[in-house]
Amino acid sequence: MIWVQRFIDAIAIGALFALVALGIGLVFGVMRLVNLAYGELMMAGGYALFATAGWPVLVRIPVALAVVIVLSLVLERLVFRRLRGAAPATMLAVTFGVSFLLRSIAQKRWSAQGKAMAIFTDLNQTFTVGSLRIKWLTIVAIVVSAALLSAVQQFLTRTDLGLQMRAASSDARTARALGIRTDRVIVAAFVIAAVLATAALLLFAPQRPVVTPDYGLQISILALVGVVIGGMDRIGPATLGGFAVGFANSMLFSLLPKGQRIFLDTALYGLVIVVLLARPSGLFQRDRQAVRV
Amino acid sequence: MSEPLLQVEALHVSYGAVPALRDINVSVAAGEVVAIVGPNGAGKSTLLSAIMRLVGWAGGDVRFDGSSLQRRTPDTVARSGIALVPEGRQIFPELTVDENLRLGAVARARRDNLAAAFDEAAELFPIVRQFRDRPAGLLSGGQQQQLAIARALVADPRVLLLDEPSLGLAPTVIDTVFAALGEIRRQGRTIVLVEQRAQRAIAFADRSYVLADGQIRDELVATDSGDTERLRAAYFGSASGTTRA
Repeated sequence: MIWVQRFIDAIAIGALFALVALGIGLVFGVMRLVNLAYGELMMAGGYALFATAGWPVLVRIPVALAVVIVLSLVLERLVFRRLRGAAPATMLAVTFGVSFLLRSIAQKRWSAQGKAMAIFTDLNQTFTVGSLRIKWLTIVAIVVSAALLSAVQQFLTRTDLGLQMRAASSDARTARALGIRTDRVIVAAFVIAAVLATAALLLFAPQRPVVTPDYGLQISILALVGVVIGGMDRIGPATLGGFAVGFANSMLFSLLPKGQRIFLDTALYGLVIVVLLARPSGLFQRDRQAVRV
Repeated sequence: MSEPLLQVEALHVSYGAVPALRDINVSVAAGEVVAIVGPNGAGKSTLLSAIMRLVGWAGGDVRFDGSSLQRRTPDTVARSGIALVPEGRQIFPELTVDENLRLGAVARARRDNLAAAFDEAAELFPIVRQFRDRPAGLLSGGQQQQLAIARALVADPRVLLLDEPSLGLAPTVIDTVFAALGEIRRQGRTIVLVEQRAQRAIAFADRSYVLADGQIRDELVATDSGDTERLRAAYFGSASGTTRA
């Protein structure tokens, strides 16, 4: 039964990483921008939760969401919009700089010491099913992530703006020649990415209730690795890649003997290297030559 | 005399320091079919991209229905009534045929009568109805070309720019595509056709421009399609063929 429990936990962690990977993948799709500052959106939301500690939850969540969306749009308007068409290396360097800058600002304002931003702490309580002890957070994370992933999927496939977003992700030049307002599509992608970052924050916060300047760093880097191994060119595979990395991370943690868990990252990145050597274009990527007849 | 619907005036385009188009003057009247022919690398596709504002201009202007496109972006050019069928089709392979067609409707000035527009496109190209739920990337090259033209028509453009619609297609498929273009012409739509199959394009069009080395070398009418000497001269730049009508 222990393996069933580990499996359920890994699905929950995978679902959370899938949210972050989807946020990164959406922005990459429409702009070809690998946003290394994505984790700092979660950090900003974390400090918003810290600043509103003691307020009603129904106020804290919209405030955190608003902070993350506004920061995402400000970055898009002031920085990323100017990078359109720039070389990938330039974009990467700039987003790294933005990430570093935001963390530095947070450190200057709130210091490197963690700030309590506890929310939904009751979700850490467990319930038992037979011999399984499952946290409520695990179930909520799976349900909320599935609902959000499904909502984004519906948006992408059922709405005109979603269809335009998929077209712009596939071929921005042709999309523009068809009359698609790519500015609008990109702004929409940044808003959705911000909503997903906030959701991921709220689902991570019960187990990591202390925000620091590098709060979102490791999560976003791992999710980014997931996006790469899933296949950056398409949103679906990128999201699956995020899930795979989160799932593998959780399972490896369970598999490693307690004294060896210091090697978790080594094992995870070793696995990633093997996957990328075997499938350089992505674990879930179809053979593009076969598709483009 | 009424102003042409589309007028390219002294247009210059450069890729870095390399000039791609030099002093291009082209006029297209409403309802006219104009072909742009020329050898590989002449600048034909660049001209269409420049009209769509997909590439920047180094000088000159393009006027559409009397208004300059100088300050337009590709999406606003498309929404003003110019549709491009790009070289290599550029359909969205992972989207279905129906979704590709829906994207054509983005540039439509009027959102009503969409169903009628889809029906018209399907009448001209039955494959868009037959394979409507199939990913467009699974269509053959000829079917993708038909889809690309159908998608442009759904926009109900006043000017249709076609970039090498016969490229890479089997002869029978090329006949199908040209038959459809004939029908589109009969509907009174203005067409600018870029083609490497020069004689066929010249015979199809009302007027044709020969573009070589980034410059207009000659202007021909349909009856000139058999004049291979004149064409050769225009293509390769001998003195007898460098007239500008």
